[in-house]
Amino acid sequence: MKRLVVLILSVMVSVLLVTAGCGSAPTKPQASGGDAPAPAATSAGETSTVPQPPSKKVAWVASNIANEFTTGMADNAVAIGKEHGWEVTVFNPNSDLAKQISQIENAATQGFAAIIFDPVAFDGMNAVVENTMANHNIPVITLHGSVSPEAQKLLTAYVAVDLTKGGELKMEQVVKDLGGKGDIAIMTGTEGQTSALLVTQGYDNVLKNYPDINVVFRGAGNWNADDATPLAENWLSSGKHLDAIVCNNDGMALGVRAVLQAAGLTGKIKLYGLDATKEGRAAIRDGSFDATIWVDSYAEFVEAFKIIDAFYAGQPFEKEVMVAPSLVTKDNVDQLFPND
Amino acid sequence: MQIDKRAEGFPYRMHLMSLRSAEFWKKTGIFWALVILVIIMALSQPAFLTQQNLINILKQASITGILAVGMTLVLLSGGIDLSVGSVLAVACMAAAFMTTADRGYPVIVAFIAGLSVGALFGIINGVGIAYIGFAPFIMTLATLSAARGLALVSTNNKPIFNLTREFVAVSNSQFLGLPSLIYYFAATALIAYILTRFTVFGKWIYAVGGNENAAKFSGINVKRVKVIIYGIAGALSGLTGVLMASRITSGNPTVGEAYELDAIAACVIGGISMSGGSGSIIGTVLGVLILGVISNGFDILGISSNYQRIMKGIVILLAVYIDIRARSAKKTI
Amino acid sequence: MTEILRMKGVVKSFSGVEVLHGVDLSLNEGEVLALVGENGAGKSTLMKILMGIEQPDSGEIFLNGVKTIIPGPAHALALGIAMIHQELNPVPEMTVAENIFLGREVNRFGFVSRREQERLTEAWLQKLRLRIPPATRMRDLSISQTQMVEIAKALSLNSKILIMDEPTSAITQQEVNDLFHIITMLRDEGIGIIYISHKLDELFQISDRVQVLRDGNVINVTPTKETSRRAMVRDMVGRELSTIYPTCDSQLGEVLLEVRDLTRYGEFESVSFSLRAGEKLGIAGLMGAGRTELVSTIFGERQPDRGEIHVKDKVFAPRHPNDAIRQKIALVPEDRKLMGLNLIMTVGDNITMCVDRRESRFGLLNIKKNKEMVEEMVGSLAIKVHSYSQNVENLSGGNQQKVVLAKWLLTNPDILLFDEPTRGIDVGAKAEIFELINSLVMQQKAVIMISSEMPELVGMSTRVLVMCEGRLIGELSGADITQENIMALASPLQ
Repeated sequence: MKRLVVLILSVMVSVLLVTAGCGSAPTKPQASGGDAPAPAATSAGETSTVPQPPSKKVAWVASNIANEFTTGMADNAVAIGKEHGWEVTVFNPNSDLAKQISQIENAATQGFAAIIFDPVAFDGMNAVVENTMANHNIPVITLHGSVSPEAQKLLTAYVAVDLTKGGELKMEQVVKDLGGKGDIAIMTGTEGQTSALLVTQGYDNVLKNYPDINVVFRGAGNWNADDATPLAENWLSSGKHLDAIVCNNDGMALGVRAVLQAAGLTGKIKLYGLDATKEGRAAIRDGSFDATIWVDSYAEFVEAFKIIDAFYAGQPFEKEVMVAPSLVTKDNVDQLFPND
Repeated sequence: MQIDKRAEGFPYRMHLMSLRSAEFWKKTGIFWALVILVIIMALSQPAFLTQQNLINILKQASITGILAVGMTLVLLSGGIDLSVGSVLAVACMAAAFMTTADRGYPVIVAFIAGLSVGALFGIINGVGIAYIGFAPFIMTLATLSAARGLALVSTNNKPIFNLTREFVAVSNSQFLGLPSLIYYFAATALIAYILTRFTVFGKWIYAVGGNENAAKFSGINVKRVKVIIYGIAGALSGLTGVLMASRITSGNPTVGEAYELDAIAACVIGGISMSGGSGSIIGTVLGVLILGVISNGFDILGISSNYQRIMKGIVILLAVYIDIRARSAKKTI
Repeated sequence: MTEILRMKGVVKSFSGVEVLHGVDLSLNEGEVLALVGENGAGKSTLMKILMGIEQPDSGEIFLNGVKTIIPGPAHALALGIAMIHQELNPVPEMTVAENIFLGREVNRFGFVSRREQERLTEAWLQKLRLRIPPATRMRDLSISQTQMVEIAKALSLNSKILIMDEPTSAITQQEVNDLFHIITMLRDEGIGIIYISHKLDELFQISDRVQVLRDGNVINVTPTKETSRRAMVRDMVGRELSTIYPTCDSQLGEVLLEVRDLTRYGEFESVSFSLRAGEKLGIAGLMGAGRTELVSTIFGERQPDRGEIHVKDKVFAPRHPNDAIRQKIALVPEDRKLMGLNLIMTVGDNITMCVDRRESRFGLLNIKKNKEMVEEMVGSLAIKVHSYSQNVENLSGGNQQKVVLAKWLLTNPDILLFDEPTRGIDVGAKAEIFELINSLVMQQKAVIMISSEMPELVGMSTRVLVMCEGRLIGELSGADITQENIMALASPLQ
């Protein structure tokens, strides 16, 4: 028995050593162009500098498609891509980092002409970005979320809404509504996820200047109403005093709204979301939300496709595009969204 | 039982052949399913059969594959391990912790850390199940929750990044033209194959899963066997955690969520009996490849991953149905 | 006497192999027909056809003179045919009443009327003179009580034909007597009973006629009074079996096993005895007398609360069966399917199970040596298999039991504990197992044999210990070993 265990362990260790040893020669990033296995590279149109798109397909690799905002993003990707003459395929990794990496690898090998992705995690994408950029001469763009500085350096471009700025804008409004003093609860998205971290960072940037705003609770509502509802219920039943609940997105805020309504606290506890989804805007209009932030994914995709077109036209383009977020309140909602 | 009598009165070779043909389809059915799936994918998307894509499939199936190998051992012994995805996350954090650029421990330290953390969780599972008597489902459900929590609190939800280049190379390098992940999977599967097929311990796994009482009466220390099996499964989860940390170039506490379900699905598709005692590692490897082909094929066909889930569900039922049919066919012979 | 059932020229094949070659069967009102034959003779298939589980390829069935087709088991029940299966399958968490009315619950507006169900159940149980409260859960009943509940269920269905498959294989002598009483009562009420059993002695007690099947043919149908045990065995086996209990004169050697004051509270108490090389020690007793628990303790499957075990004059305190195996003790357990075999494993893998480690090198199975051992065992015990890689579940009871024996013989034991070694296996295989036991004691091994079949103990043992309610209450040897003496000691309340 013992011998067997020793045998197995020694085989495993030697396998580890062999593979770890060969791992000491990582693939080095290569100069773009050259040996990229893009099938269309041999076509007649190839000139020295302007790359040819290998196909008319563009991949939109989302982070997760589970709520109104992310569904809207996918719709925007397809619609705007079509306007620019691209056929957009939508990938949904369901917030699974490894799956997103696989999908990016698949899209690159399958001859997609461009890959736009919203990273599931800030720090997880270095290797896949490095490999894709080294082996495929296609534009790879992050959109909405962002990746670590090392990976960002290699990317073709990145387009984002300044989420930290959005968080700041919103928290300033909270402070204003409460008169600089009060008890609040903060509901974040899935813990450890980039966009949740960035928005919450914005909150904290503002809060450090207002010591009279007391953060009573911090909890993760995982971006959706299902998880937000019980969390809010627990907060309310704790008996602690709350003046406002600030959520990282509208989806969770809608869940909280239902809880407040059931408890007869609508209006007594102020409620803040983010995204300005259609339902969120309606909530602003009927007063059940006090403010939200419009994260304009439409504008993001417009910028992304401009970059792709410029890439294949051999024209210069901006490598970093930040789309500004805007605060949405009852006062300006009709002005910003006249078509609702 | 009519079998013996007929075997006496009849040329027994003929009997053997009919037995063998049912056996043949039962044993190789899953292989043909994979072949058919590959043909369908190749016909509908020519890019499917490119060398690069096939390598991608193998690479992407590797992490689930290693988990599924561990799961196979557990299922064969009549148990189940729901905690593999969470244990993966803990090991991922442990490996990343050891190899941040400022700590900079050698790669082998990350492996030792990840594997031991995984094995520790596995042994806790095993002791809870074998010695305390928790049902495997309950015990590993508890570990699933606790290990995920531990991964999250270890850094207060934050990922660990900026890992050494040597460690990042573990999952992201190539050897003889193939990604290193494939070698880890192949080695794990090969060792597990030898273990289950040619070793005394492997036979004990089947014995415990097939009839725990009879195993005990045959002098097998059932409890110890179980602890070792869960320990191995935990260590393999730990291994995948290390590989995952390298692949995602960071320690991320949210990785591996629901991976236990993929691992179980691969085993079930591969013909591993959920009640224990029958099935083989080869089946599991084929099951892993089938899931890999579905996932990759649907991605490159541009079909939403929501349909992939539906398809996975159908494939699972289909695989089990074929298994049931093969079994009942064998009985009526 | 009116004939209520006639099966005529029934032919049935499985996968092109004919297993019933035109079998006839007739059953009268108020009659017990014994259906006998070795395993594989076609009894089960014939009964499955009668129950509608299988359809005959040709042949006819007449019920009360009317030609009938029985498409399925539910149909058979509706026609008044019920079967008490060898392996009973009640729902253990349900009550007696719920089991009896399973699938046809007495209901009012869709709600089960529990009280009414229990009242009806009570009436049926009383008819069988059973004192089981209808609200008892099935899992709390003994095997024989479960059987009685099944019979009550059949009666509640108004069955006219009752098939009993090995009803006495797992119950004690006392319970057998109760069962026979009920069978007699049912027969007197005009119910026709088809009684399948391997225990030939009981057939003389209970049956009116005997029908012998062999290899799918009817060999003989005679009134029980006009046949003999010997003739019956000859018809079944197709040859003359000189005697089922072969004699042997082994020399008694040194004491191999000694048990002193061994106690497990609630199971057995203060048991002391010794066992010598070359001895065949029978242990008699009713179900629940603590016999199985006693040998399991000696085997290390459970630990005693008090007392000592000595093997070859050394104290032996096993923590696990593995300790017993090292001391060259073997246990052929009571229930081979639950404890003796891994049914979904191959014949070969089962046979070498206990010696895999002994033969292994660096933890690797010695496949070549294992194969040789399996070949030797299959040959010497004449185990009928198609191949060594056939799963054990597809073997007949007798061959399964031989696989268990082969497994233990390979460990080369000095002390063999046999717990009900012949339960549910046919006459031929029984004789082979007895011969094997004799050859073992001739090699100066020591054997303990637990059996609920008194003739077996009488025929085989050199000495018999009798247990009653956890205590050793008597020892018989030589000419004192008779069924009467054993019964007198084994029954409680004396």
